[in-house]
Amino acid sequence: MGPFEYFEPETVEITLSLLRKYSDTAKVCAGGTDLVVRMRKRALNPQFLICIAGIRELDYLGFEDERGLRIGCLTTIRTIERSPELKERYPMLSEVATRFGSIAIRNVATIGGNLCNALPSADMAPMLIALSAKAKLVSIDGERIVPLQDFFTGPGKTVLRADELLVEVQVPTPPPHTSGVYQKYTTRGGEELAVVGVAAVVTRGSRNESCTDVRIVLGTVVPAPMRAEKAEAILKGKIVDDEIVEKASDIAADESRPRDSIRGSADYRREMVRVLTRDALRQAFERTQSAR
Amino acid sequence: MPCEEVTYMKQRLELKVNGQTYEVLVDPWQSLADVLREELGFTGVKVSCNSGNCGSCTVLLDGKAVKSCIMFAPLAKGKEILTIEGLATESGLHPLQEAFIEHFAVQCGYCTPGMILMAKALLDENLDATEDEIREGLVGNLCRCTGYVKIVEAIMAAKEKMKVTSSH
Amino acid sequence: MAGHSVVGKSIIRLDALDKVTGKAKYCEDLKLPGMLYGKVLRSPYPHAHITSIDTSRAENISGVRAVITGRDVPEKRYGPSVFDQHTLARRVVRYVGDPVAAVAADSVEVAERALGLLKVEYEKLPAIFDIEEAWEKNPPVIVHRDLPKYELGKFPPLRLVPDRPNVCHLRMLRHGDVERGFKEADLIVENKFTTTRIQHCPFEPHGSIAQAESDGSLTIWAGRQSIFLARQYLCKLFDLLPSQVRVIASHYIGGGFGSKVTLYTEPIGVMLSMKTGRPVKLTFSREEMFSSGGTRIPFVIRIRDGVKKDGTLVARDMEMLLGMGAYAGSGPLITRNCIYGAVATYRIPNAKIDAYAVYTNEPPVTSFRGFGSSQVLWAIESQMDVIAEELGLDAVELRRKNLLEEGDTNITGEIVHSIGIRECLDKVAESLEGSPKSKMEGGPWRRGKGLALGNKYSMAPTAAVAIVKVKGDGTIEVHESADEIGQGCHTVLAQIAAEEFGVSVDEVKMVWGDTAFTPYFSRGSTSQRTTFNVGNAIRLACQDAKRQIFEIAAEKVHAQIQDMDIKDGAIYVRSDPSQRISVTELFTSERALSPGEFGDYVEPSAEILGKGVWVTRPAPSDPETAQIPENVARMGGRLAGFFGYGVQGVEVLVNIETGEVKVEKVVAASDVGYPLNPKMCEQQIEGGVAMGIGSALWEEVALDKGKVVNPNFGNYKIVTSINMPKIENVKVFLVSAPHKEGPYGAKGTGETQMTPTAPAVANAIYNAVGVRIKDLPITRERVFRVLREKAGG
Repeated sequence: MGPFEYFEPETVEITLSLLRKYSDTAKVCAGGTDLVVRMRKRALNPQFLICIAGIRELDYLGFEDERGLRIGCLTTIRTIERSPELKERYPMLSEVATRFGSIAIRNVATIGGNLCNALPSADMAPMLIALSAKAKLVSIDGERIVPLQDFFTGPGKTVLRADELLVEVQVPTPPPHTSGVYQKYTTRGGEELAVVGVAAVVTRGSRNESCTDVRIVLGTVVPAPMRAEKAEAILKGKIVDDEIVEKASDIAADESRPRDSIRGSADYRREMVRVLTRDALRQAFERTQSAR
Repeated sequence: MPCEEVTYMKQRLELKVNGQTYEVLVDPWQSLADVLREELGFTGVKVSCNSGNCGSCTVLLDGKAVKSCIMFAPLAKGKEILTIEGLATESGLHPLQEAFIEHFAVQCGYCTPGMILMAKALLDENLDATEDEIREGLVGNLCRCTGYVKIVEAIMAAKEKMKVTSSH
Repeated sequence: MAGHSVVGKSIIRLDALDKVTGKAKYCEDLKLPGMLYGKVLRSPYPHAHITSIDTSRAENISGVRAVITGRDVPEKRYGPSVFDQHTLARRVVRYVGDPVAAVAADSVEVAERALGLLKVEYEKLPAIFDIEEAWEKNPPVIVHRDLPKYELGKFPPLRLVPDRPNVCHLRMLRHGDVERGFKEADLIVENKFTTTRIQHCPFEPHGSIAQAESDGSLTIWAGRQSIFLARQYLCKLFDLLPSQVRVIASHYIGGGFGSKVTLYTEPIGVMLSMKTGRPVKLTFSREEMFSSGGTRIPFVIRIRDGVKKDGTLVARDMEMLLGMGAYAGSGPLITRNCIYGAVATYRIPNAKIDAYAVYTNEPPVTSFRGFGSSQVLWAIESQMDVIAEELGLDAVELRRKNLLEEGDTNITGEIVHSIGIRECLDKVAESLEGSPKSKMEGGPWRRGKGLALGNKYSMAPTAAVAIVKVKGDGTIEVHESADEIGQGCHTVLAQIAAEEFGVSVDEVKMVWGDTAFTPYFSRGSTSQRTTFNVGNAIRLACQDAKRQIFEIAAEKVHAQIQDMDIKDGAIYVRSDPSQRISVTELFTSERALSPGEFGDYVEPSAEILGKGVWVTRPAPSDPETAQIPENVARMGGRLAGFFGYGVQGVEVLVNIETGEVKVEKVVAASDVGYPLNPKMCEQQIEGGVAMGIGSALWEEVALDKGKVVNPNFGNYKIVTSINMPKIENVKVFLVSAPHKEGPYGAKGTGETQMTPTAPAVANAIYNAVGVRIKDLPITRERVFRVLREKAGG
């Protein structure tokens, strides 16, 4: 690895000016769990490394009535997993965190790093998109808020400019009677990247069994996490039964665009999208019965 | 293509390992595992995959398990680093060390330091961990020799011992 | 066993304390003054001519001390059997990962940077990957055009097949009349099975430190199996005498499983040290372990069995192709020995086996726990269940009916001795009795159970020497050359010495691992031979030392030598134990010390040095038929040292929607001859089961046109803590069919343990969901596809 020049800015402002100065010759390091591996393989060769781990003001998890949940980019996945308040208000997010890597990885890996690396298999993105989360991006010139749904543009690619830093993830408070489930399929189990990831968030009408809103987001089997909008469309406003769930799952499988890879052939992965979408929807609907 | 002529400055880094403070000069691209092993001689930190998959390099930072092969060394600044060398105290071995010996949880020994430290982090957090929770907690620590049977047995046994100690 | 006080007990491992405190030192932990770090540039092509190499830019980096290429290495080739490999490729590269150049530098980082500046031009050549295609008579690519001109090693004697130019060895077995056997059969079952490449994944990667000494000799510190084999190979390669090569085993070795027998890092390290005059450490990265560190040899097996209606086997015909990759390595020896996997379990009147060692342009293979037996048994034990199903017989009964017994003749003519497999089978079958053969579970899950039989020989010839020094303080110091690769050999060996001297293991000190100082052990800790061979050598050495002690003591206490015995550091007269003298009292010092101080000197020989030599010799066998002459067999002539046996049964859950397989329960019984340390036998069994489950369900070094595409633990999946059944669902039984030559009846057991696992899993999957997977590994996707084909989808 290396050589590169190393910076440890103490504030966001200094970070942003370094980013402006070095632009795409620099790389930001948060926890580094993914970055170190890619740099060691020389898949990434930055000339400047900007380590922001010391900027503690970026490590927070807070709740506001209007904006809902706010997660600082340096918040670790382990913090998300274990926050009692998050477990209470966003159980689907804590649950995703438990499926992420292993404890020793979750202790270091950050939400910002996971999103900015933009691996198609990243675990946090599908559920956050399904929850209509937004990312706050800042540069010397100011800030902008981007829906996470529009954040990813391809494997390893995002709308983040070279002089920008993702500083916060904002997740609106889910409407009443909403629950979400993340289904992750791997080839063995254990600390593994997803072969297929499906997040489903479902909102049920307050007095009836119909589905007033649904979001299905596919991970890994698409170049960038993507909503299965056709599948969502046939569920919306419907009374949910096995038949319609099966139908939606078939459509989601059609919407996925898996490629052949060492972790599974495209055909197989498409089939797994069907099974996982079905299971995610079923469980999510079941949980709406008890969701507040 | 890296530039051949440019020389890069080493960084001065202060690390607190097993209760002692060390000052080292490191290249910024050195991992924590590399610095602990090569610069400070804590060779109980084992590097096996060097890609964060196997957990042999697990050390504790302020009591939290991390994989030191995929962490830039400066990230450990200001934290209490515990390696396997610092686990036993003057009063003797840690209950996990004793249990790993007594329950034959050790074979080639390469995964052992990381495995014990991971187990310590798990039990320090939850002394009531079930077998399933222990197994789930160990998924990032691979072992090629044992099949985990005796490792899990040892951790379950150490847990009981630690319960007794902590209730005193 | 009655009367033993140290062997047969689960003595705490002597290495455990060092290993739980981080004090244990491995090769990777060693640093020598002035040491440089080596790194290797490898071929990106599976087959190519090297047209030019420009090293100038790399040489100019500060911190680079040497760059070597094929021009710098010996013209002669090396290898364990076929001399087909250059230290660095000179003109041709034959696999993705073939070493092309190497750098020694002040740090690993600098060495790696220098590799990036080496400019190599290649002219690509057509390559061949498919084993069956490479085996053909007119293959499109010949991997070694000069094979007929290559020098061949003496062991095993090789049989080239002139019209199959990619074959470097053909091994044949002929027993009875196989065609007549098939004529007598009521049913003939034929199937094709394959196994894939798996990697050993020892947690310590291959590594060594090489020092070219100023007198032309070499000193090597190595984390490897078999220091004497390394010495032999290095002598051959560098034209040195054994006395000029010293190989020192690092104290502990982070796992072997067969992978550390081959020379991977040593020759290149030596070349770099010769050029720099400094010690050079060369360690493989995990990626290199997968691309160039050796894998298990993949097999293509056609098996054709003839059986009677009642299940009696009457004929077996096997044709096996072994894909060695680009260099033969231990491929020919595996080809020779793999047939033993088909020899040891069943009574078969008529048998024919042909095994071919085939070159391809894939990475070279090496020895792997099981050494061919696992692959052969994958076919046989899957096939036994197929036969049982077709005959409508119970799979356990079918096996019972055909089992070899003590005193039977196996298909090489060897008379069977020390076979505990029936008891193993009974134990496993009984333990699984309560489990349903197949059962619907909730949702998509189906349950099934299955079992399989395993065996593994221990190779002969083997020569092991031990020296036992009795010290003035009463310590028994044992010198031998077994490799501590994690199996805990020195604990068991210390138990043997302690037993012989009637002391506890605390009084025994083990010294091992230096060709200059510790005695010969021909092929080191490979082929589960250590306990049997070194154990016997130690027993003999102890007896030799005791004889010397008794001679001295007898004179002092005025007794007859044959009446003397020793226990707890005192020599006594059996008929009158009050007549005794302590070992310490035999020693004095040249300057008389005060009473009670330890002396170093004993009259008349100065030291008590016992020596023990144990040689296991194989019986000669006919190269055309692998048959042992009848008269030799009758005199006890054997193929190998011994056979270890194991039977394993598993219960699995299979998800019919995803193909996922979970192993819920494992029952393993193993005939270890005599368990010298029962807990350590369990360690081997549990570890073998885990590796077996990994090989059954996930493990595969995936290749795309010869290039490894999953060279890391993220994508190469070994078993994790959640893939093993819970503690209460892992049952281990130790069975003792004592071997007449084994120390206290013991046999080795490390390799036997993964031989039955994969077919047991496949048989259980069949019982759960009715599909027979014939190719390893049984991935989720594979199960899914076969289920879908079966459903006609």
